[in-house]
Formats: sequence, C-alpha cells, structure tokens
Amino acid sequence: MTLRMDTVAAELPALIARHEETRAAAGAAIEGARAALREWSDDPVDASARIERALAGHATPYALAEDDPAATFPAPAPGPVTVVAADGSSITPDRFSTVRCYAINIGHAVLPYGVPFEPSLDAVAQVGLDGDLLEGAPDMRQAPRGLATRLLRDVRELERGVELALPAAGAGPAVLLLDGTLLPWDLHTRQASDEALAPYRERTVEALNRLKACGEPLSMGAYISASAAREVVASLEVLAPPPPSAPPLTDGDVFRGLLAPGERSALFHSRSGRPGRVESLLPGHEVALFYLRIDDDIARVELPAWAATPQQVDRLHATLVDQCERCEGYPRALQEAHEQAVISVGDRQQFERLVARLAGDAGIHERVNGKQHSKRRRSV
Amino acid sequence: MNETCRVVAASVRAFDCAYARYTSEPFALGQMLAVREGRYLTFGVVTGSESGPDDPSRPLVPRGDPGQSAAAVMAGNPEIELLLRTTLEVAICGHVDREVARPVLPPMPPPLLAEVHAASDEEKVRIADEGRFLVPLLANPAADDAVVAAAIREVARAAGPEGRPFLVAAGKELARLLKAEPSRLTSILRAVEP
Repeated sequence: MTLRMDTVAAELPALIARHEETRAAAGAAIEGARAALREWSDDPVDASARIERALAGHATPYALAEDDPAATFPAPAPGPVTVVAADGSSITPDRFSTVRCYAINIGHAVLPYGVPFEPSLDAVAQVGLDGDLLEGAPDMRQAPRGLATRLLRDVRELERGVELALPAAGAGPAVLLLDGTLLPWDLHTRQASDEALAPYRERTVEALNRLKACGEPLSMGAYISASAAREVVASLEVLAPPPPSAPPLTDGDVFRGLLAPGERSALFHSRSGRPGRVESLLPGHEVALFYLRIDDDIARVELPAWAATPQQVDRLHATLVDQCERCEGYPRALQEAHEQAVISVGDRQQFERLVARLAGDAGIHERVNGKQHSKRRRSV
Repeated sequence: MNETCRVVAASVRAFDCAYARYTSEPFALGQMLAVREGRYLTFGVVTGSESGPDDPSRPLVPRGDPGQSAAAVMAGNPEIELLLRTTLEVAICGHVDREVARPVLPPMPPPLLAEVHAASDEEKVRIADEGRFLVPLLANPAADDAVVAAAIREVARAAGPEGRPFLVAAGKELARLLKAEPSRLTSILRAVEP
C-alpha cells in the first residue's frame, strides 16, 4: 500500500493554515530578537558579560561575538585560490546480510581558480566488516545501527580533505570546504563508550592538527545550508527574554533581515557548559562561526578558531560567495564532491548482489530470515 | 590530439570509442581508425561524434560571459571539462588477419577497452584496397554520404601521388555498388570533389 493521499490531502490545508499563524507570530519575535541584537551591538562588552554570566555552566549552547555582533561584511573580491571539498556516502552493514560489511565512498573536488594546480574530481571507496568498525571496543556493537559507519565516514571525509588540501595550499592559497558541522557530533554521543569513540577522536584531532600546521595559506569552512542552529538566539534571549507564547527562532531568522546577499555576519564563538560536548573533547580546536546570506538562504559557516585570521576569513568568505554563484546557491566544489560520493539505490543493490555472489562462490550461503524472505516474495 | 581513446562498445559491424574526457578536437568524421589489439587488427571509419555530460541527468548549462571563448569558460570553471566526455561511432570497414589486409568485416569485434588510434597512411591505403573498403562501409546505415565521401578523400590524401588513381578506382567501385541508387552516387561523387 502506498501513502494514503486522500487522507493526507484532506489534512494539509489546516496544517498550512497553522504554519501561517506560526509564521505571523514569529515576525514579532524576530523584531524583538533584532532589537536585542542592537542592544548587544551598542555595548558589546557589557552585553557579552551579561550573556556569559547567565549561560555559563548551563547546557544550552550559545554564541559570543568576537566584536560587534551586528556587524555585516560585504564579500571581498575573489582572488586566485584552489578550492578543495570532500564529502562522503556510506552503506551501513545490514544485519540481515550473511556477510555484514560496510562501504564508504569519499568523493572530492579539487578546483583551482587562477592557480597552477591540477583539477580533480574523483572518489575513493573503502569496505570492511562490521567488526572492523569496533576498533577494539566491543560495546560499539550495542550502539545504534549506522553510528560506527557514520563516524568512520565523517573522519574519512576530514582526512581526505587534509590529504588534498595540504598539497593545494603548498601551491598557493587554498580553501578546504566540508559539508555539515565542522566537528562530527557523533564524537560526543552517549550511545557508545568513551573507549569506542577514542580512536575516531584521535584521528579527528590528528587531521585538524595537520590542517592547523598549514597556517595562513589555508582557509577552512564547514558549510551548513539553511541551518536551524540557535546559538545567537540563545544569547539574545538573555538580553530580551521572548514572551512565553513566541515560537522558537533560529539564528537564520535573525540574520535574514540583517544581511544583504553575499554579506556575512560578525564572527561568533560557540559556547556551552554541557559536560562532554564535542569541542571539549578536541582541545585546541574551538569552533568559530559566521552566517552568510546566499540569495534567500542563510548558511552557517563553521571554522576552526585557529583559521579565523582576517586574511583566512576574507578568503573563505569570498570563495564561498563565488562558489555559490557558480552553482545556483551552493558551493560548486561541495556539489561536485557530493556527486562523486553519492551511492545510488542501484549502486547499493549492486553492492548487495556482489557481496552475496562472492560469498556464495566462497561457499557461504545466505541465511534468509523470515522477515527478509517475506519481503522478497511479497505474495498475496 | 594526444588523448587516449578506447573501445567502449563493440560488434563485428561497428564500435563506439570514447575519450576519458571531453576533447574539442576528436578524430574527424570519415577518418580511418585502427584498433591494434586482439586477434585481428580492426579498421573503421568515424561515422559520428558526440560530446556532452558524462551523466545525462546533469545537463550542461550555457555558462560564460558575452564574448568569452569556450576555452576561457572552461578555464574559469575547471570542473566542467572533468564532467564531459567525447564519444565516437565507428563503422568497421576491414581488418588484418595474419598480416593480410581484408576489406571485409572481421570475424569478431575488437576488444573492449582497446586503444583506438588514427590509422597510418600505409594502413589506410592497404585497407581501402582500391575502393573495396566501400563494400562494408556502404552496408552500414550509419555511413551516410558525407561519411563515405570524407573517407574516400582521406584515403586519396594518404595515397599521395597515387591519390588520383585511387579516386578513379573508388569511383568505379561506387558506381558498381550504387548502380541502383544513381542519386546517392551523384551526391557522394560531388562531395568527394575537392
């Protein structure tokens, strides 16, 4: 049976009307938040101190501005640069499969603009047994399905970015772009033990250290389109608490009216008193961030605090705007890395068939369980 | 033209070959190509050439500023060239079996992924065999009048001082093969004229 369109279609008009009501209520809340931002901007030192006093020690993530929080910056003109991006896709071990194995495909794009460097679009694949992901920590087997594959994929994305960005930065200015958050959130999950996560943390730190050592020629940014983060909003709510009925806002709601297309916000630093948060596990790699308006999208850009010198940020900002202009609102290099990485439904089926065939050739015959058998036959 | 071109689909009558990437100067229409791998050396004539995105679900957008050349647009968007590919269709017109040139279809297709090269002048003249290569060529529906004429011109050029006698021989062969299609014969002969 497919989705009952008759049922959902009947409910959709009321749902859309409710959405409109929420949007109208959000308008007033956004105005309140922008007034709070102006207050913060009028006296950044005092307001930041108030925010820090109110939220220090709390689990709520918030953000503090490096300077004037309401400042906006137009995009600098792009200069010669090599843009490197890495993105990954994965096949999670299937618990119904006889040979439980994963596949990770890390795509990359290396695109030089006015720099004598070889362009490249390609992917590297890696396969392994489910057990390989445990890395000596048996409790990873108890973790939610896909966690270990996701962790390995995130780490490999960063490592691949490092492998490609370092030579590029040796040839001239370079920008490394990643999709999503800068630091993999799964590194601080409570669904696996510290011992199980430690190897992934160590590899992440090692990769970040190598990037840090590269210095000024390399800029780095993790790009989150249509981010739903609300760290700046959390800070603003300290200065002007919203009425209890106000709908929750995102940072994007606040910056949408403030930033002109191509402009970026001030630099903020992420803060939280939550014990075990991912940044506290990666000392020396604190996250800085800014918001960037690309057409109607407010993207969040995360970068390591050590890569936030004015020259590095200007290069990153100019590159992102230029990249988005080349690709209808999303960085071209990230789009191409994604295209290289993506594992289609057909690829997944082919991988599954190949594993089953080779296992069969090796004399390992598939044990078909009841659910699987029933799903395959789908008899009436 | 230094890019490597390889066989990507093959039958005994025709094969497709592709460059790893896009090239603005592929083998020309009517040019004779050689596959020098496999049991037989296979020779064919280019009947079609196509360039475009490797992934048909991602069409090429006409980028570039007014007045900007194709090379400048490519240089400014380095990913484009990596996502395009040039493919050629080739009609087989002969083969070499144990060093004997035969202007007929080979017993088996050329190997997939074998490299494809431009035939040498000597190979062209041997395979053309005073116009007998036109028999398999005209039997291939992909070899239209322009292709046949271009192939004849190419062999005539390769034959050097023997070019004129070759053209006479090829004309006679064409007249024999196309005696039931006088309008096609005329069309090809006009297209062969320099």
